[in-house]
Amino acid sequence: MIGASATARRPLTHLGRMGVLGMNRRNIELIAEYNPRKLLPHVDDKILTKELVAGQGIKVAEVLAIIEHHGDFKAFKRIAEEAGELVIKPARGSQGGGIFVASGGGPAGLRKPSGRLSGWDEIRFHVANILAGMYSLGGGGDRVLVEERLEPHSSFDSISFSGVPDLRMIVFRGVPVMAMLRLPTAESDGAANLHKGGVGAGITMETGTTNHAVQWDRSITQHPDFLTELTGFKVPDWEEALLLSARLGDVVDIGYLGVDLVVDEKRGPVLLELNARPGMAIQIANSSGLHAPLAIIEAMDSIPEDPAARVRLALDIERQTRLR
Amino acid sequence: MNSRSIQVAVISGALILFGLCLILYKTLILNYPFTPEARAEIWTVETRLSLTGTGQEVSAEFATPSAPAGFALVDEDAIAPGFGTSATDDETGRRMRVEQRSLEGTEQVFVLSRFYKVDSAQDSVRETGSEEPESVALALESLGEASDAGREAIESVVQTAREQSVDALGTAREIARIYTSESAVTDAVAGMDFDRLELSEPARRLAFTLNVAGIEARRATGIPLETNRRNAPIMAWTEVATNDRGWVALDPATGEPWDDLPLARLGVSDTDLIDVSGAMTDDWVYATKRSYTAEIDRALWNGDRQAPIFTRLSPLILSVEAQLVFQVLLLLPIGALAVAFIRQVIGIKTFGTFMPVLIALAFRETQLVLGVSLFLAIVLLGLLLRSYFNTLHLTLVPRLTAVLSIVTLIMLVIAVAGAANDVRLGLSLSLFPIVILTMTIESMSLIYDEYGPREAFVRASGSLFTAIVAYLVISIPSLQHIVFVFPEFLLIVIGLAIVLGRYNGFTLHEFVRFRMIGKQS
Repeated sequence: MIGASATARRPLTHLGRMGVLGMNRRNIELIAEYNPRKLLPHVDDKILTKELVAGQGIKVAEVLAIIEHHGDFKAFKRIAEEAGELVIKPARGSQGGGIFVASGGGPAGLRKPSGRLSGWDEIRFHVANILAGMYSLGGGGDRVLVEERLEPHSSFDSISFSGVPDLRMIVFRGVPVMAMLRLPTAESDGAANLHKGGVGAGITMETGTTNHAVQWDRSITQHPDFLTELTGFKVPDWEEALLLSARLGDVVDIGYLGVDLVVDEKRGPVLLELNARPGMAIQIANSSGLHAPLAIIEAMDSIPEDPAARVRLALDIERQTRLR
Repeated sequence: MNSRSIQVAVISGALILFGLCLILYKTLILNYPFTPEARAEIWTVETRLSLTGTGQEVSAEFATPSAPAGFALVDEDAIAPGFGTSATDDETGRRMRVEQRSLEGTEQVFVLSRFYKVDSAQDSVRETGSEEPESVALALESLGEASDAGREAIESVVQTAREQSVDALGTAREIARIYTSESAVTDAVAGMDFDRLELSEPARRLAFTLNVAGIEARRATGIPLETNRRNAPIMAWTEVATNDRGWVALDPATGEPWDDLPLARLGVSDTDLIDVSGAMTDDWVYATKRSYTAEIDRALWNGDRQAPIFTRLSPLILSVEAQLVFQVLLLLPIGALAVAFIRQVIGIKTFGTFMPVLIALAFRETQLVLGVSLFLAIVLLGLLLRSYFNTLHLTLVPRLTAVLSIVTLIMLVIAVAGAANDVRLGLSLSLFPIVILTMTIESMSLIYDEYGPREAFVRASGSLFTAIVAYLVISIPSLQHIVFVFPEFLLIVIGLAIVLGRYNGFTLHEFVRFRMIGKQS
């Protein structure tokens, strides 16, 4: 129970008045309440997530290989040499840990987007570390997921430094609640993660344009590397991205869900991963609290079954709750 | 409030209340001390008898001290090698009887009696019968045989005293005053001579006069528990029977109750204090010694009489070794509560959940400054070596093994270096959680590689800060004492933890982090 809307009772603190959702409240009133424990492994494991959404018409990055044992490395090496462009990630990794991106390959090893060559020895070591569970939630062993490398839409070129920018949506009971664009910077070394120094830009869902941006939890107006404006950027294929996240509400029975998407140059919005414990930084990126829209959706007796209707509902709620 | 919140409120409220009640019961009723410094007064009286025999059958019976008002006899041990011993206890006092078939040469017999100070409420109140007390009847009978001058003198004293007072204690005070101020009367009374009754002794004179006045009183002999004495004087005083306080000892000179002087009674009236047959008594002394014991010892002994269940469930009945272990273990939940508070309410990130608690426990052994320097030194050295191992491309578990071995070696080197400089670190180092340190080094270097130096520094300083706070909390001396003496304190900790677990407000960190929301230009 997230409780009554922030306006029902005048909160004492500035954060309360802004309807900001705190970590403790998220854990107690949303995650414990709406995210059944037994479904969490499906969300935490990227391979299981792919199996879960398979056949539901949701676009995902193509799987090139799955490494379960050290012995699988040889087969992987053959595939990798041929494919060249690929991403290696721990299936149960968190917050972007342990992800290796290759832009080309050959007999000597794989080349990173920065141009540096990683020898097969180094890659074997990295794979072994993933298998040992070095990057996994809760320890224990893990599997290695090898995927096609998605190509970010060209319109991102002016605001994204190397790496792959992604979209983060918060979806509550199948209704998109808030969205942000995560942009890699030189400081984040091509990663779109905010805690590595990436830029987070809040998105007005109605228009699909960015409205505010932060780096290291502080407001900024220009991209630190390109000095381009960060507000007013129109996300390509926005309507499709919004609909895709709304549809995920039907596919996964996780009430409070974080959806990460990449807008691919050729394929459009592609599901990257799901998150059952999405962070709170999206509120800083949007300079807006989550409490008010969540409270409205929680108070509703029934949620429309049609994803498109849920998108319309989302835009409606946004108009009601946005301070601007 | 939904039903879950109500449950939480009820459960945590009940736990906290129950814990508080148990603690209050143990402090207020059983006198468990709330501070570690509390000391209880304890008196030891040693009765020593030296007997020299000539091969004949020997038996000796002698008085041993009874507990003074406000004290209780904890134990009485007879040390009499070669003798058979038996102790008796009746209205006239405690006695020890020692016997030996044939005693050749000199032997010593010791009786050690120990007294704890207790609350006077625990003294048995004497029941007074409605009949005329035996001592009064005896006194009146004796008086009938006395000379006229003496009888008149004593009757005038009694009459004056009665007119001037309302109760037994008042009468006693008045009688004593008359005897001190009017020497003619005193001489006349003292001149009376009964069989065995010499009224020249103030204690006996006061008791006799009180008896004549119809008040139950007696002469008592014993030793004062005043200072440490190797040969305590046997003194005499007067005891008067009162309804509410039982027998009250009076100073024969003033007739005032001797409340501030604990008197260990040996005998009453004119019973013999010692009776030896078949041997020579070379020596017969009472030695008194005051000492202090931890208040908790007395409370345990006291609790054992009143509510044995608490004593049986107390960690204090464990062996000393196990007690030392639990003194540390019982602090863990306290430290964990501090960590829970820091994470839940302040919002500081740490490496691992309870790593800071274990580090705090280690600091408890090494003291803070040394502990922090050791921690930093070990982690930094470990990080350096770990980063070298990383270039060797070792897999996770063997690498952890290597780092663990290195951490252990670093500790050994530090301990040896300390010993060479006369700094003893051995024991304190042993509690440094090696495995936890290893994991800290591992996860720290992982964070460093993955998220950069900034995040690693934030988490490392967060962990150290949390460990220091947890250390400061668990090193409050009275807290250490309370949780050990009152393990039910942990019920309160559980209650507070449940409340913390339902805290859904903002953390202090969030107030800073989200402060710009809605305030943009």
